[in-house]
Amino acid sequence: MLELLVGFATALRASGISCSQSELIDASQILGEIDFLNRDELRDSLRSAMVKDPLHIEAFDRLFDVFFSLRSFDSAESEDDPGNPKEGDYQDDIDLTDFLAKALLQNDRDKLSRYVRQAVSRFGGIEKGRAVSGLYYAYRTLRQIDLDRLLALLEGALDLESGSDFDRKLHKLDAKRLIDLLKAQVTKEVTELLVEDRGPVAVAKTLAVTLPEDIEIVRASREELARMQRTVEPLARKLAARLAQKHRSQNRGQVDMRKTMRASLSYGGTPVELVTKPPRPHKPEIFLVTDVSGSVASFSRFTMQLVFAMSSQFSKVRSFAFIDEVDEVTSYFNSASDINEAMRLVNTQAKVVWLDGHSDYGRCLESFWERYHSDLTRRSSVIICGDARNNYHSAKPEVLKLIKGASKHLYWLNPEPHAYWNSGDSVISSYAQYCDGVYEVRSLRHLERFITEAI
Amino acid sequence: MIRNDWRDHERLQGIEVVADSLRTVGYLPSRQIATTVYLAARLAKPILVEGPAGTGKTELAKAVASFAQAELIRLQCYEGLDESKALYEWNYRKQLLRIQADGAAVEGLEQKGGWSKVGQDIFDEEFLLERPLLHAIRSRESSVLLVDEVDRMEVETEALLLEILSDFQVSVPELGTIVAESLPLVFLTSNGTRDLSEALKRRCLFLYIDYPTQERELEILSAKVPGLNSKLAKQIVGFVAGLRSLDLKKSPSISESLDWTRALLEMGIVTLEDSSVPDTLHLLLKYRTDVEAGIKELTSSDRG
Repeated sequence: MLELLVGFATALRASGISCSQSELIDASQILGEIDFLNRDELRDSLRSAMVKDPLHIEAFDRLFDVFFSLRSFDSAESEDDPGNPKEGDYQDDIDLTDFLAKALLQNDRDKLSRYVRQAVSRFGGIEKGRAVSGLYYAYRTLRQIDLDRLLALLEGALDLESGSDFDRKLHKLDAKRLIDLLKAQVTKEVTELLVEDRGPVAVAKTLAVTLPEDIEIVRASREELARMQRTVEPLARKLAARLAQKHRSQNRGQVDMRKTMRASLSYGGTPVELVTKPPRPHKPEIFLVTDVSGSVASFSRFTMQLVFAMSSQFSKVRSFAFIDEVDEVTSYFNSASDINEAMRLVNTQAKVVWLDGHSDYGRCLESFWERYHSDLTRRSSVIICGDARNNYHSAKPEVLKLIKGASKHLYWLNPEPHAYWNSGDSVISSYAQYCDGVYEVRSLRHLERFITEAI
Repeated sequence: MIRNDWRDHERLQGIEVVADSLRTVGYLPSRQIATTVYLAARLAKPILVEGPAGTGKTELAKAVASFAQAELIRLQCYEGLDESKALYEWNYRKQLLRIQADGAAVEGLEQKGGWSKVGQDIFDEEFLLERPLLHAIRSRESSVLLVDEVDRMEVETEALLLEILSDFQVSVPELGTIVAESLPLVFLTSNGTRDLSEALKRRCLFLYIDYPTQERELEILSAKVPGLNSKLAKQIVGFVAGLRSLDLKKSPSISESLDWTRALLEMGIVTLEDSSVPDTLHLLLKYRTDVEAGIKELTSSDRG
């Protein structure tokens, strides 16, 4: 057991979850306090000792399934042979969908796992000893189970109970939730079979669990973007809190004579307590200037998300978008109810295209300076997000010098890997000389580093 | 040797027992919550509770104190919290009085051993003002220490907690080290506005309380709101779960859905209809844009 635990910790570390030696010791102590043959109990216990970040829970759960999936954990297993349908089970493929629907509706875990097992052994076509990466088998099984029909079945069955419009909407949501449950069950089943075949360490390697903060923004899939979206909000809150806190601890403020005299009365006139005036609240203004052209589309979507999340925390965020013309987009974010709506407004209503819709940093910086320089103060931080690929237009770095001179900080976030900087039409180095820092921001981890180091 | 009364507490023997004990005081725990509380008691480890606002983090500590009939000692954290407000402080006024009282009879002072004697006297426990952390350490009976919203204190102040959390002791330079007699059960809550230091996290068990599953929320609503019919409860839970899947500025948490449920009952609403929801939605959602998004979702899902 202990060996398994150490292997598990190694796999956690490999996927980026830092699990220290003392946490591993805690985990091993826990084994003595619980019934570790009970898988749920074991999972909950280890989770509380080994994962210290809510964003890592998902990755932990997946790895846990890999390492502690030994079939012997399921006590009911012995009496059930997965391959052979029992009496009353499905006869052909169409029936299986019906049976799955029934099990889901009744919330019957045992039946569900039995049917899923049958589905996997029938449709998954798992070949022993073949090193197929990831969860290819799960996709194959789910493709064979007719998910659309299943969804319709579930909705139909739920609608039978009552029929008001409102209920029907709720049932749609319910049905989707049940489908997700089924997907998770299939994934788990396939994982177990793979582990049985190849051992946990090998499977953990092929699973390639990526933590949300390590996903590369530019290359992220739609699913990954959705996962990231959830992490953007806490990050925005952190950024806001950090900006507001800066310098507070050093600046203790002036001595408040009146209050100091008053406090000295309780010591017989000796000013023992020195009372200082409360420091003025620090109100930084942020100017976020983002390239929204096609080449950095997913990155700009992400920075816009960040703006959107930040504007709810922070009143003094102003955002600007540009391609070859710059326009202020703050109002779209304040009026839009969600990020998609805001993006739509930016794309349709903001004047970000002047000529041909190819990024022109020089022109945009110039017009940003011309139109908004009077708003920049010594409290403003300007953050420019873009790859500085200028399509061989004139870069005009001297404008950046002006912007830097008028504001407190000027940072540049570049979504490209460092190695590509200054290659081709990238002019980042001519801008970099005027920035307080140029940061490579390809994932949330990079962004977090920017927040902690720079600000 | 520090006594761990929590380890042998009769209402904490086993995960199921913990869950039942919490239920008796009106807190309905998920399996994860019960497991973590059980382990914390067994291993004498603090629990770091994180999660969205309004999901019952503070409530958990109160519930444990309540069923165990232990004293709840609470330290509310804020920016600018320092040692003198969290740990201990010398009672300067009293010390001053003491010195003055001695000074009134100067000859007497010489006889009593002079300044060195007074110096010892005024740094005596008599002049020590206990603040929550020291109070928890010196408590003779087992107690629950709740450090609320740890993420609000500054990173530098966090270090204050480290000695207490791992060794359950406080060092007062003038007095020496004060070691706990009976271990307190420690809960730290955080809203995640900043990352806590690794050192702090490493010393704690971690518990993430997310929005409840539909089953658990149903259970909570029926337990907390008497006279709620099961159909309405189901509708509420389903609708709230739908709202949480939207991209909102502030998703409704348990406390909000409880408020909403009570309001609906007051208004005499028996089943939710398209028409009755928009008027009361502001109880559930706290931002105007969120309310609009909620109403939009309500009217648009017809087509979808």
